[in-house]
Amino acid sequence: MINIASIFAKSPFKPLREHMDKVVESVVPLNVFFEALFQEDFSKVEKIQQQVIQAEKEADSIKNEVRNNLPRNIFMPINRRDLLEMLDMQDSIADVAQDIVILLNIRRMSLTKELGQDVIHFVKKSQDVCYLARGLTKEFGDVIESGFGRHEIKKLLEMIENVSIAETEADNLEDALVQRLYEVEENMNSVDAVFWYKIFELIGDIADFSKKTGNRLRLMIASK
Amino acid sequence: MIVEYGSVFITLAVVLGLFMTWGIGANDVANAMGTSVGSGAISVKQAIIIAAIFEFSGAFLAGGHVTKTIRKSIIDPTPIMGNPEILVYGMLSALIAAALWLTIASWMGWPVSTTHSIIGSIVGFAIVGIGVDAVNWSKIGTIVLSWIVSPLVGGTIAFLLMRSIQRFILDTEIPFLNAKRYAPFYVFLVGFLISLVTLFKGLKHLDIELSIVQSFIFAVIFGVFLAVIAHIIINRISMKLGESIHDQFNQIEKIFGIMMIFSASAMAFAHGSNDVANGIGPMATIVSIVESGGEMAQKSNLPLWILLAGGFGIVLGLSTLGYRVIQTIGKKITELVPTRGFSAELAAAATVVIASRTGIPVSTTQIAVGAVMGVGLARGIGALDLRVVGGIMMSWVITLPVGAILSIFFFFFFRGVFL
Repeated sequence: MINIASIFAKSPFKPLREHMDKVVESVVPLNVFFEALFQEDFSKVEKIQQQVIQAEKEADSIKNEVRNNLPRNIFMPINRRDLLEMLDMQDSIADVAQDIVILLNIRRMSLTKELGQDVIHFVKKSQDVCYLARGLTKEFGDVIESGFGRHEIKKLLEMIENVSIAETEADNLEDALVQRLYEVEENMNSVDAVFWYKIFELIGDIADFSKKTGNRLRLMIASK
Repeated sequence: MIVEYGSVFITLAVVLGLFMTWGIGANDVANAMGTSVGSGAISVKQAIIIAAIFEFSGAFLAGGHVTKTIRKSIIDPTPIMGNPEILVYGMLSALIAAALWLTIASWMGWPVSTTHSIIGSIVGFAIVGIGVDAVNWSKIGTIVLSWIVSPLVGGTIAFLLMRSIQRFILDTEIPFLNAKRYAPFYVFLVGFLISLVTLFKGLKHLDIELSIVQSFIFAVIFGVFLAVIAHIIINRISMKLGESIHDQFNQIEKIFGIMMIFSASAMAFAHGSNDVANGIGPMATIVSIVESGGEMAQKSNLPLWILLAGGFGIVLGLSTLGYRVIQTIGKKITELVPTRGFSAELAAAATVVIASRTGIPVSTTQIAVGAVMGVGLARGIGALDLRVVGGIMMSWVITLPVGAILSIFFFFFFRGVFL
């Protein structure tokens, strides 16, 4: 029936935020996960792995919901493709978190105490970048409420810049860690060493994808 | 013929006309009030009360011009001067056809515009019963053109309103304070526009003739009066210092929620002024022919009681079935906020009331859709479903010919029965 209600479609912005909240849920336990791993508390490791997998699954279902509610002829104040790409980028963060916990739950590797501390420091930095990215989706809500006012957009762009800066710091930590691992890799099982390089890359990806989420957002809010 | 069956015709005309206006109140008003209820600015009960008062006022004060168009400007009856009963059968058929289509389509959930139905029905019987030349095709052309143009006008006004709200209120350093400051201006606009359009040479049927200057002054006074009331109510809304932007936006929406009471009233007024004619236009034609004993006096005035009856019919439909339809529509609109709703509603109301004053029958729902899209273009709304535009096209393709065909069918029926 053509009534006035039929022109309104389900807005994707709240689900976008809910999705990011789920993604963060999958990232939050990671530092505790590594601590448990290094303390060889493997039941805790197992438990956290399940937590992360569950959060990633829930994020996936929100993502599919959003996709299902965005037919081609929907009209939004932002570009549909940009939004779907930002959603995908957010989702990749949760995927990476899942990859990390699954890998390390199988290969329960260890490191020297110092290196372990550095890794946890790096994990926390990466998590921070992710939390900053979540702050972006929250601020984006204000941008929408203001009707894409220049004021709010300017604030958001500054916040996006901060995410970039934080990611660079995470990058530097990753480089330092890789260097340190290289210095001691002969003292380790060589297969383990290779997988540690992989883990460092994955931890770095959490920060990297968070930054890219910000970039997608930047594209979205620019004039349509 | 006329003398014999005069009372039958009048009875039929009144019953059918009232049924049409009842249908308009039951179904169509919900679209006019939908944005107010959907944005949470007013409850369904409040919407019914506002609609009852202002639909009636709009119909009574400003409904005469469109009614005149439907009565007199669409058909030129000179070819059948000797057989006025043809016009009576025709208008009766048009009424039945439109009423029937309204009922069927509402039941089935199909798109229906009461305006399109009645115009299609009238043109239908006129072509068959009088002759193709009897239809005032240039007038029909104007009307059809307005059906395309009016949603665009509504959209443009809504776009500009939304933009102004962004520029003066939402996108500033102190949005909440600016909202308090500028809200009265917007309410002034509501009062000023509606009363100016209504008063400007518009109250002849009440024997009130105002000069241009008088209309203008009165409109300004009325606008200011409303603005002052709005200012008093809005001043009660306050905020603590240092509130976040998000909280400021919440309070701003509360302010616009109050403003929507005014825009909703304007919308109800506008809708009543345009759509009442769909019910009482044909009715008035029949009544005037019968009461004049068969003369189709082109100059006859619209009897006041017909306008009153039309308004009453709308209110009746509104309070019996309209409640549920408004509730349904209001529930379906989940993500509209008052700043956007106000822009769309005021734009739609202004467009409809201007069309009413110029005597052009338009579809309120289509204009409202156009207005919402205007707000969307100003980046004010999260997501709009453009398939509705296709649905609107469909309603043209279906409603106009269906109305015409049904009307022709009933016309032959009446001619057969009363011959």
